[in-house]
Amino acid sequence: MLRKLLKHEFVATGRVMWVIYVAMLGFAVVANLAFRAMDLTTLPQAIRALFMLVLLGWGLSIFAGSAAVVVLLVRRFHKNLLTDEGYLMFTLPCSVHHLTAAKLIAAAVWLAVSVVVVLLDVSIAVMGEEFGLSLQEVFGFVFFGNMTALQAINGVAIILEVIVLMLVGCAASCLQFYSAMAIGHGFTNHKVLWSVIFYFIEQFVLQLLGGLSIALLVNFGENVTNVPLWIMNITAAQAWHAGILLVLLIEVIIGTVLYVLTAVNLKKRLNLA
Amino acid sequence: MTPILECRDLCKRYGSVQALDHVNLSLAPGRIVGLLGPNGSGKTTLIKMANGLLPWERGDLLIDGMVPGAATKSIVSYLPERTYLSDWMTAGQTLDFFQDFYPDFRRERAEEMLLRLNVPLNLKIRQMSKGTREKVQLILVMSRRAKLYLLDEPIGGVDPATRDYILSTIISNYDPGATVLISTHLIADVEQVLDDVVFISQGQIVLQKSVDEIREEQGKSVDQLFREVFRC
Repeated sequence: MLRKLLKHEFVATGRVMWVIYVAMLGFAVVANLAFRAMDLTTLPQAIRALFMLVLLGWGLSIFAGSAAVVVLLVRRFHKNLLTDEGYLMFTLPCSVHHLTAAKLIAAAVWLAVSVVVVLLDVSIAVMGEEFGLSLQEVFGFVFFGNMTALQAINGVAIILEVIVLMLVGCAASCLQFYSAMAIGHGFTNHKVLWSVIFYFIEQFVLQLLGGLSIALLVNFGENVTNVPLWIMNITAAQAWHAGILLVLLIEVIIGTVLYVLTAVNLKKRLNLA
Repeated sequence: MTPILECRDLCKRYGSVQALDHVNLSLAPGRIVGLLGPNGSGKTTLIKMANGLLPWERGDLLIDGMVPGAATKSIVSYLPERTYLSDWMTAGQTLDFFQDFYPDFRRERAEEMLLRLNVPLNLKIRQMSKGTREKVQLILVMSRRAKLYLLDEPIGGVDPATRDYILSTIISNYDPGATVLISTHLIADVEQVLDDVVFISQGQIVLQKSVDEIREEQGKSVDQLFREVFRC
């Protein structure tokens, strides 16, 4: 059932997402041409100003495109589950977990794709002779450089860990919106207002816990006298792995709590009226 | 025989309002039942609860012996009083959707009915009139071979010709072994198709009888009895 829900979720969201991505990448091509034109010394001031505006528009398009993706994903959850469309979705022969998971997986994938599109967008815009040479250097070092097998394995592992972290982080961010909406829409009146209030309450709690954790760590670091020898001897790669996995663990814990909040509220306090 | 829908001492509150008050109800398979009551009597609440869309505080509600959940949703075909189809979808895409999720969906029958209604498969929901959307939704719901059809106000707010279309679609498409529960306050229009009636008032079941019993014992039509029971 989850597979079917995912199929329909990607169809429903994909028809809008591709338009945004193509528009962003199209703007990047225009920005690239503007960058190249700006290098011409003989360019009249008026035309130069016009190209500056184009570049400004390109910068804004990255923010607007990214924001549009987030807004669309949040709106999709709201419209498809918490308004009239919810009468169909919640009477499908599947569990609340499947409904939530389908929305979450699709949203996390689209957010991750958006990150890739933004990277691609910037790369296209600044692509030129120098950028090509820089890429050549990077790839030359990665594939033909004087790198040990251990370094290569660590590099690949760190990249994979970052990708997983990115996906989990995207899912946790989505769940903060979802849980706030699920709680807010359990009320009889002012559902949207309650959703916004609960989003900020969650945000406040997360910031508070994050701040307290950092303060405790700093305090511990300042007061610790006997640092174990194994900590002093860890390599840079091990420190990277430990750091990424720690952040990943925190994101998983936050995501789990928010997921439970979402699922329980959709199951026990659903109020489509 | 297990009742297809059974309520035992069922209670539901909205804040200080008692929406359902110790409801006891049992529906046998293979009947067309009218859930009749004035606005705000608890009809929609009961149907939503049977669909697993609302939790309740007290009592039991069973569909074919099961608590509403994923298993009961595969045997219940529900028509809410609102349009629940995504407006960006085409009529054909809504058929794909139903076909994917409901193994009992009869696509050929749905396509045939859409064709008779002159609704092309590539027409988007947002391009349809409100009446056409309601008809498409009814076609989807009645194209399933469900055990229980829960139709919430299917003829409310539509013109008499559309009412006839809706009722004939229900009658000619439901599975004879299935139960159809039609909630409405427009008694005269549905009376002709009903086997049994359930009168509900202020969240309480005040009468459950067959239409024949009402006619034979009281010499009245359901519409006449309804007007007597719910006289203001």
